[in-house]
Amino acid sequence: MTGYTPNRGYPFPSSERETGNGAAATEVFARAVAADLDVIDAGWATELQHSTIVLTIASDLTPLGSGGLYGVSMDTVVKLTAGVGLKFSGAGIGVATDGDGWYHITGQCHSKANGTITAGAQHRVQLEHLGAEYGGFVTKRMYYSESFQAGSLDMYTTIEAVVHLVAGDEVRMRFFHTNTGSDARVVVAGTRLTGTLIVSDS
Amino acid sequence: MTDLTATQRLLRTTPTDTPRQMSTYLQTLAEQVDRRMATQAYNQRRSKRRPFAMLEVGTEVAYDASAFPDEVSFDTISEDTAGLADLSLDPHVINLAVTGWWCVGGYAHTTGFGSAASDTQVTINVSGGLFVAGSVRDGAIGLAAVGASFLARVPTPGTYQAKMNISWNGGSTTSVTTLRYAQMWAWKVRDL
Repeated sequence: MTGYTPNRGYPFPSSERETGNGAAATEVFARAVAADLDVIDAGWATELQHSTIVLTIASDLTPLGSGGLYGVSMDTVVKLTAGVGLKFSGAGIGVATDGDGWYHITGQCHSKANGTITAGAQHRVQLEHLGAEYGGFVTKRMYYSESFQAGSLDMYTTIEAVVHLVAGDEVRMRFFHTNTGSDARVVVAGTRLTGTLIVSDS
Repeated sequence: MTDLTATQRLLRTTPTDTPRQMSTYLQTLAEQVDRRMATQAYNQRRSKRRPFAMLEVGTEVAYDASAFPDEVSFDTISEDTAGLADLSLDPHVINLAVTGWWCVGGYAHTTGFGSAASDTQVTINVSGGLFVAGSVRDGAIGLAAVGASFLARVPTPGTYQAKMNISWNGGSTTSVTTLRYAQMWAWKVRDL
């Protein structure tokens, strides 16, 4: 076996004399290709699996009360290609052991008032990037976005950020509203939180 | 007489081939497979480490929307997989260096422009041709923050750049705001 291919180093018999051992040569070659395929297949599987997660809350209206700050609990996984990397944390997007990397996070919140909203009503959606520390969570960074609509019963707020997440991190969404009328109560009508891998650290 | 496999077009021997031909055939087959495997490995590496840059304003700074140029000046390159940014040459831009479809976007958190009746707006501009704007109302709760992204088509390499600026819309009492934090990102989504 004196010949080798340039990129992957597959062996081949380089002379007629060596083909007397053709069966052995073929076996060595096949084993080398199979080993490479195993590595490449595993790589593609990882690449495809930890690409995207999409979470929503159920379509029924979740009452939040009048004024204040509320966590939005996701309860539906719309799309989860996150066998490796991302996961549903129970409250938002979580990052598994091998999920370190940069992620594009988007959030949308549709909120409604079942009463009168006065002029100056303001709704804010917050993304919280939390990191596991000392057995609990610490806030690494907050991202904000607001909607301001006087006299409307429906408000739509969107937010985007690119975040570097490491194992144990979570991204959660919170909802804040203020300046509603005294009788108004606010409900969340629909919420969506997505995470998409941009580049992995590994 | 050798033949080719149906889908991958790899060389295969047939029962009439002679042992004398085997070394040549095996070498040809090994080299064919070698090229396919090298291509697969290259594509996988390229997919995992696609062109991506992330710039941030990590230190709070005054920002004057009436200044020229008014693009946000970034102080940190948080990630750059393909040499897309150089703050010493130009702290305002990400170079979309290769052709393709790019996801370009940004996020800014400011104190607003002095009036609860004004909107703070972030605009991302790609070489004067493509842009996206996100807008929020400056509010009583003391912040104005907005993020937005879009897909930009980059048809030629080496000339397209992404820049970000912040402006107000109506009701402001000043053109100066405090930029508490900002980020601008760009990554190649796919080939054209």
